[in-house]
Amino acid sequence: MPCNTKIFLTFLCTCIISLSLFADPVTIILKDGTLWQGETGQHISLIQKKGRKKVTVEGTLSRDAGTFIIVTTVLRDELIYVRDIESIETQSVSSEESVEVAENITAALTTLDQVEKPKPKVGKLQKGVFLLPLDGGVGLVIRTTEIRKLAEHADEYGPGQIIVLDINSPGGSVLTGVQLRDLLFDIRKRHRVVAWVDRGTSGGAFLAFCCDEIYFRRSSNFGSITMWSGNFQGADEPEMNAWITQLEGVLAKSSRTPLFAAPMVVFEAQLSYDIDEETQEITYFDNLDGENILSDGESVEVLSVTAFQAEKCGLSDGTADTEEELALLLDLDGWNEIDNYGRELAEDWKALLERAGDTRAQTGEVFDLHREFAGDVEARSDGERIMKQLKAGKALLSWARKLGESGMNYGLGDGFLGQPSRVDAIKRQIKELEHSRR
Amino acid sequence: MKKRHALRTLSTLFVLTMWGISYAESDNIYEWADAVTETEDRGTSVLIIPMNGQTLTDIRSEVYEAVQDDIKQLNPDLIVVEIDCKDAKDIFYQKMGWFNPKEIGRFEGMTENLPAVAKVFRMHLKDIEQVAYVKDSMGAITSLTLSWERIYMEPTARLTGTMELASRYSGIADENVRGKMRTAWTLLGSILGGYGNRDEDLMLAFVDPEKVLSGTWNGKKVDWFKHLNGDFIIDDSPDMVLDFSATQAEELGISEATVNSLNDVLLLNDIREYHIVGEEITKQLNGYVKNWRTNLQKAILLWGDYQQQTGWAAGDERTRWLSKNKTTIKSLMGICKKYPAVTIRMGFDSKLKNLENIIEEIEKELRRGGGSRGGGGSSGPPKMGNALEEDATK
Repeated sequence: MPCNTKIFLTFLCTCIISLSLFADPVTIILKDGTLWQGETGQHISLIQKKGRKKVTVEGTLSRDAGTFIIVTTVLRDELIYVRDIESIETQSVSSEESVEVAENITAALTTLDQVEKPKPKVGKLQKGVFLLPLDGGVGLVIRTTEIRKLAEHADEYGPGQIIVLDINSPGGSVLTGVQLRDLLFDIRKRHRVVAWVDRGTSGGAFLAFCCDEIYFRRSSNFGSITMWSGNFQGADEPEMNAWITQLEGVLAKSSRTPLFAAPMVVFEAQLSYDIDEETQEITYFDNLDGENILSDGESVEVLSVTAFQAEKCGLSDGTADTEEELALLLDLDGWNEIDNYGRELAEDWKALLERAGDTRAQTGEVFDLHREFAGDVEARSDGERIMKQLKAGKALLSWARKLGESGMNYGLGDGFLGQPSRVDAIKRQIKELEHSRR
Repeated sequence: MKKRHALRTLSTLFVLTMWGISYAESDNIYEWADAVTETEDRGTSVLIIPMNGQTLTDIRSEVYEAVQDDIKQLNPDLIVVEIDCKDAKDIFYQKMGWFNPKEIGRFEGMTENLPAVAKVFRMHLKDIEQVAYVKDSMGAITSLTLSWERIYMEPTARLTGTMELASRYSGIADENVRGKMRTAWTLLGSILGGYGNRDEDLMLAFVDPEKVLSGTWNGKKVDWFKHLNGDFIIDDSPDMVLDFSATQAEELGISEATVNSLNDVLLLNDIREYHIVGEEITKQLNGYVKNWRTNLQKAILLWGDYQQQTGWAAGDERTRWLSKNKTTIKSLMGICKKYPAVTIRMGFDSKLKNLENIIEEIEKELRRGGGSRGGGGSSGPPKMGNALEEDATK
């Protein structure tokens, strides 16, 4: 803990205690006539009307000036007009709790956004790790829904939580990758987002680059972020260049050298680096001037690195095979996983996808339903066939709701980006079947 | 001063000093905009006017005309027009084609509609101070955005021109006719820019790809030229329209400043304390967008029903479904009359003549007693002027 923080904490406690020694009685009459009596130095919680909003203010009552009071909060002295106070209540805080409060304050101050976002009840909630296994293709298995849900869950514990994305992905959809980037950048404003990579190829590597920190497993392989289409055709040069620019932006956002971008996308790009023997500082070159060459621009392969290479060249923040090893690298006393929410999310999603079916082989429940809905059913009469088709159609609509943004992989798109809505077409076909049943 | 008061004052001062020292090293804890406070009723009264989405559908003159008198009566100290119109989420999304073409800003043939929006604010409400807070201004909206003299842009906002007007005349073979149409269409840029005292050459370069643009600094302002002899060249391509980032727009004096929040905008206008007024007006404007979009979905369903029912109108059930179709088209017309935005998105002609014709045909058929022909009222669903892009049955 930095020296000035210690001083601050010491004085905060001293001040809270000293203020209580010099406490003055305070009487506040609220607009609705409610009378509140207390004294300066007390820890209070009040609801203040601020324009159109109602804001909860917690802190120490420092001064009563009749028309207004001053409440010393975690961030500043708040001047609050009595006429703006909706309700007020006393909170008891012992000296020990004061230290705990101060520690939590220090943690909470790590991000700017916590000033504006609703804060957890100080001193009541813990800080720890949330882990989300991300195992599969980007866009097929890995998508925004689970990450968003986990972040919302972590939000309940206040800012500054550690969200570990356990990535094992061969890549996938660039569009989903970019959507994940936008989401992760937003989550990073209030939490520490860590990638723990097993396999991070293409979109998997891109996803890891979107995190604050990247840790590898010893067996990890990482890189090859070239953009290509379904027939193994690389994107055209303008799109590829635009993609490199996107990747450079992502790297820069995480304080990594943008020079990793081009060699991971096109094989012609060169990358080398030097390590200062004394300071261990790494200098990168977009040519072959460095002693250590990562991409010579001649071998027809785009850059991909192992855990050892990644740690040496400064791409990874460390290597850990177990949660305990990762905890140490994260500067934690131990693997303090708050709950299994992320693991359960991933398990539920995996189970649902298994039931839904294999998108490549077009097998599984959803694809069976599509065939049934199209009339591929065994029936003794037209009436029975239509009944079965209708049942399948309604089941497909139910699947569309369950699969959400992934529905399009199963022929259940909802008109995303102006594409024809398959869900609407199914609804229309259901009407047709209902008509023909009459 | 009593001794214990002195001690308490010293103690408080000590706390504040230590607090100050503690946070002196913490960057970004306080922002300049923190100096601006929203109150219940004190300070400057600010009215927020949302202008989000697609021109001609979300952003239509009638919608703003409907609240014009209320705004006048409210007489706020400042109107902040919040503009957020993006054809695609960002440049990369645009390059990759990840956008819904149906949501791109439109002009159609209705060149009078956007100027009518400008008239509401820049003429009828000109006595009320106004600024535009731009979260994004892509394409068709930009000419309207620049009808405000003072615009403030968010760091990620863009100010881009549109090819939409050029597409109206670019295919005309006869040079004279083409030239005439070019002038007629692109004039819209300079008309709107006129409300914001914007340079005509600058405005035309936003809407006419053939126009080039250069500039020369004149103090803090730029003198714009429709040739390439200025001190710096902005656009030397005959195929492109202007495209500025927030930083570029600020550096070239097109925007006043780059801002992160409404509070930034207010602070730059010397406002430290404000309160929001006319929330019901803001709500009404947002409500319109929600309503027309809900009705668009209804219209899509109705149009699908009509097509489906046309197929069912055969044999014994012909009369029944013809009658049903008449009701369906009437409901559809009701929605379109109430929401011209729906008419545009459905691709119907603005006077709904095609829909009226459908009803007439159905009535003729019904008068003939239905009959036993297969198909619809006449010869199946009619062809519209534009492709029915929202056709859900496709």
